[in-house]
Amino acid sequence: MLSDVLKKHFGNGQWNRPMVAFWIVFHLVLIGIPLFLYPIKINTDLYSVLPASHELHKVSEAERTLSSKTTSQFYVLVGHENFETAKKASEILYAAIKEDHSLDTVRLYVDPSSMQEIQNFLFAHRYQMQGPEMVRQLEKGEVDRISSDALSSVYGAFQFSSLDNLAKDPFLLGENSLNRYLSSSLFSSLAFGIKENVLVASDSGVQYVMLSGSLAPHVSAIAKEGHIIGRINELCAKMEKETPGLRLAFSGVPFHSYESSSNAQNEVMIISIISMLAIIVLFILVFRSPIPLVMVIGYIFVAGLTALCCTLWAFKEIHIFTFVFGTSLIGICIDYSVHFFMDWKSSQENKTGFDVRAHIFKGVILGFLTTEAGYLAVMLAPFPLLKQMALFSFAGLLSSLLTIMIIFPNLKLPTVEKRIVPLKAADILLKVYSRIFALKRPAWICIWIVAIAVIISGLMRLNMENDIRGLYSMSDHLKKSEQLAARVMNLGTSGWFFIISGKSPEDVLQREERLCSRLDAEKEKGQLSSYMATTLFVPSLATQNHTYSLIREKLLPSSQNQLTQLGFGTAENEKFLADFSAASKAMVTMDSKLPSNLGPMLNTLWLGKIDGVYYSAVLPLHAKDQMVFKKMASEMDSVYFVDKMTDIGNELTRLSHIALGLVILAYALVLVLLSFVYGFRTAFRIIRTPLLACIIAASLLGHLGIPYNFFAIVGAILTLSIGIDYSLFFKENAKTMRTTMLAVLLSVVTTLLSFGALGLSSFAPVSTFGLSVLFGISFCFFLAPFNGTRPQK
Amino acid sequence: MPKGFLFSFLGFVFLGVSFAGSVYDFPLNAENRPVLEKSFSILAAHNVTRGHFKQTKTITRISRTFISEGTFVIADGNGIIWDTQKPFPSTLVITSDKIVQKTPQGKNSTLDASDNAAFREFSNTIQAVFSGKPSALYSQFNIFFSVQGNQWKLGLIPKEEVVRSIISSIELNGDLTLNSVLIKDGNQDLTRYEFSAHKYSEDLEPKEKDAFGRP
Repeated sequence: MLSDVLKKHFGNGQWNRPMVAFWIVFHLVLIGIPLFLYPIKINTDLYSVLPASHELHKVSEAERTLSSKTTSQFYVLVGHENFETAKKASEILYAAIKEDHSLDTVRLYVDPSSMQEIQNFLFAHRYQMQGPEMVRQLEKGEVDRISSDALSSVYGAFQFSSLDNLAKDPFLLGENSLNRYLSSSLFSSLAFGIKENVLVASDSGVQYVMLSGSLAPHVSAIAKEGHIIGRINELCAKMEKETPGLRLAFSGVPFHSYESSSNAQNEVMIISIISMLAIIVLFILVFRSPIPLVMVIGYIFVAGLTALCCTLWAFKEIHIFTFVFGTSLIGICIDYSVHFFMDWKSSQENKTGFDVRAHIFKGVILGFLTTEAGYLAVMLAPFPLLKQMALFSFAGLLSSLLTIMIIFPNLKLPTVEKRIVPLKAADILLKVYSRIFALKRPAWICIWIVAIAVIISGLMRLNMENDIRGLYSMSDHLKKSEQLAARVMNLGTSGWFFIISGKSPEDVLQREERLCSRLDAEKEKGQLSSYMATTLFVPSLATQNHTYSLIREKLLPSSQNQLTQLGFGTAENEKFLADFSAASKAMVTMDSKLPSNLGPMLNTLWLGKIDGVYYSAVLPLHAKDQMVFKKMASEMDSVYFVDKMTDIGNELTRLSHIALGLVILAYALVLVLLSFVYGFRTAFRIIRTPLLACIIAASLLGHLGIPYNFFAIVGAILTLSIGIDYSLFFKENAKTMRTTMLAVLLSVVTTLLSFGALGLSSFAPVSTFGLSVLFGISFCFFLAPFNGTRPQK
Repeated sequence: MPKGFLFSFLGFVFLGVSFAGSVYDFPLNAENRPVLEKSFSILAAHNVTRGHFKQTKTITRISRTFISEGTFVIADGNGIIWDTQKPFPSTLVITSDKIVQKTPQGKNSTLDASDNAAFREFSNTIQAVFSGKPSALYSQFNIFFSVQGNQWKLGLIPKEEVVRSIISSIELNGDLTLNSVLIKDGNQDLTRYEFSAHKYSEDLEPKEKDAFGRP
């Protein structure tokens, strides 16, 4: 059956067997090996799209480790005016997901003994863990004050800690340590209290019960059937419907990644369907034969598969956005096939498909080389996602060229009488161009003046900022949810934080303590309310030893007196001294058994050893002037201020400049290449078309108020790569201007449909990229006939 | 004999018998709730209540008793000032948004309760206990109440297990004034407050305003 089909449509008795074998081996290697070696892994992490900040290359791995810890965490706040209803709903949700293997942790209930556990921990290490204020008093020798304060507390009212251990702790160092924890840690701004063993916060008369969790490391945030986030969303929607007055708030990266990947998948589907439908309709209308359509679908499938597998081979994974951008490959691949089939279906002179190839060879090869040069240039940009997209397109286009040049020529030609294409649209366009070309000089001068004025005013309005906060626009539902969660939880975390590095854990902890002491000073000035740091619970050994020594030197000589004032005798003092001596070994390290409910927090803050260097993070809470903290970090050794959003914005701007520089370099090479073929003057005319088109597109984006950011510049790069093809086709096929115009028109329409669809994307980078290419390609098409080979009537 | 009188008499006998036992034998119910609210409304009749207190802390495990005394100010809408004078002076100021502890030696520790639910709850509970506002107690405690003549006893057991691990129970005794409070902590240690020399006024004195941070 297959051989019958092949015989019917292929052959002409001229199969170029070595080349076909090469085509088969080429695709088998590029598709087969990656599929055999690597599973198809799709990365949907929103953050991994973004480059590591240039400023932070030294700590980028540590920053990624912190991100990976925090980006898997999520919170669901279940609220109702009636606490019992809120708690019941949260218990239903908890019961539904607590055993789920997709989740690493799920927490609803709070262990009532957790506070006691912290208290016991602080008491056990009271000789090592004292705050800066107590250390300062000890250093100054203010023993009387410490002693009196302890006595005042014993005889004063309402204590948080028990006096059961008074004989062991006559100076109340354990209570002092607890008070420091209560007032200076995250606890001091905790909006949640414990009610019936769950965490509850109140906002506008609604009681919110908190359920927290984290995705298991093996679970991707990609939206798919039965995904845990999808199930949580569904269950919550059902509960909201069934329980009047129930209010739910979702917070955490998994919800955003799920939603954005779900949108991306839908968009990929819509963009692909629109592109394919447009191709089908246009091909049937123009070629009136199923053969070009079937061939092109197969050819795009092979090109897409090659692109996917090459990307997998090089990157071991493919990002979901490479898929979204990659759908534009369809539009580019089609250009070459359109030129092939236009000649195949219209030229009366061809005897075989190889004659068709000969006719289009120069134009397609030059177009291919210039486009691939653009992709190669983008591949040099130091941004993994861009490299991935460029490689995806580069490989796909290479496959498509090989198919056009090796497989398509074996296709039998239609009979001579069937070699007709509808040229009406081309004729109308040619007529329009003829009229434009016929315009008198004063009219041209007017057009130039108006065009230049409009272009310049648009360029002057261009906003070239790369603010990544504006790139991701969450849905209204999720936005309201995050706002509510932020208000209720009132954590006060900023988008920035500190990363501290060191050669050993002790080195990191000592540096962190120096930073904390600066933060304490700023806290006094009201610059922040608190901060989260590892050293609040695990001070450096140097500090612990120093504190222990100070207590031994300053307090121990007064212990008998203190105990006497409290009604104890010498026996208790001896026990106290023995206990103190034994406590010299009670140093806290990262390996010590720490209170269980501090585990998740310390696990997030302590980043551990990465590539031979140790790291920790310090998170300021309710901080005000960012510049104060940035300056603070700049003055300290191995302390890095990480403002991911701003740094990435700056990095994107830097990358934009690099990418643009690379493309200009590639264009200079293309100019040299084309100068050898056509001479400098003609070569310049060919490349000026896409250059001008990019300038006009940028101006239009300026008029529309769309930022000319990194993604718009990537669009311009693609415009330069693709747009030059149109100039080349007009240049190469000046003798067959009607079919060339039709071929270019068909190419442009399919390309514009792909990028136009991207322009409709809800994800701002995709939309900006799509619009940039849409405008650029449109102007390329409009300007291409002006490249020196004017269409004739 | 009028029926109402008979019921009152029976109720009196019943409550009288009950008063002889532990207050925790008598949960608050629809019958004795109005009596409780009436008793507390007398306590809350004045904006500012001042007086003298004697605090006795009994720590069973170490067999020690610590006795101190001083003055207190309970100001409706402002908070409580607990001024311990003997044997070691210290001042504790509890408002709805902070808990401040001061000593003459210069210790000044502040717990900000404005953003912290646990501190806020502690602060509000302490104020509710001492200022005669039972409505604020219903949600947080299982309440027990008994009365004999004009003498009443109020027993509070925290509903939350986590709070019970710190405060096991609170017992208030009073008549027209709050006379004593007995707090049993999680370790079953007792702190007894005995109040005397109650004075009432409608306004705060300037130094009290300062302590509360009021203009």
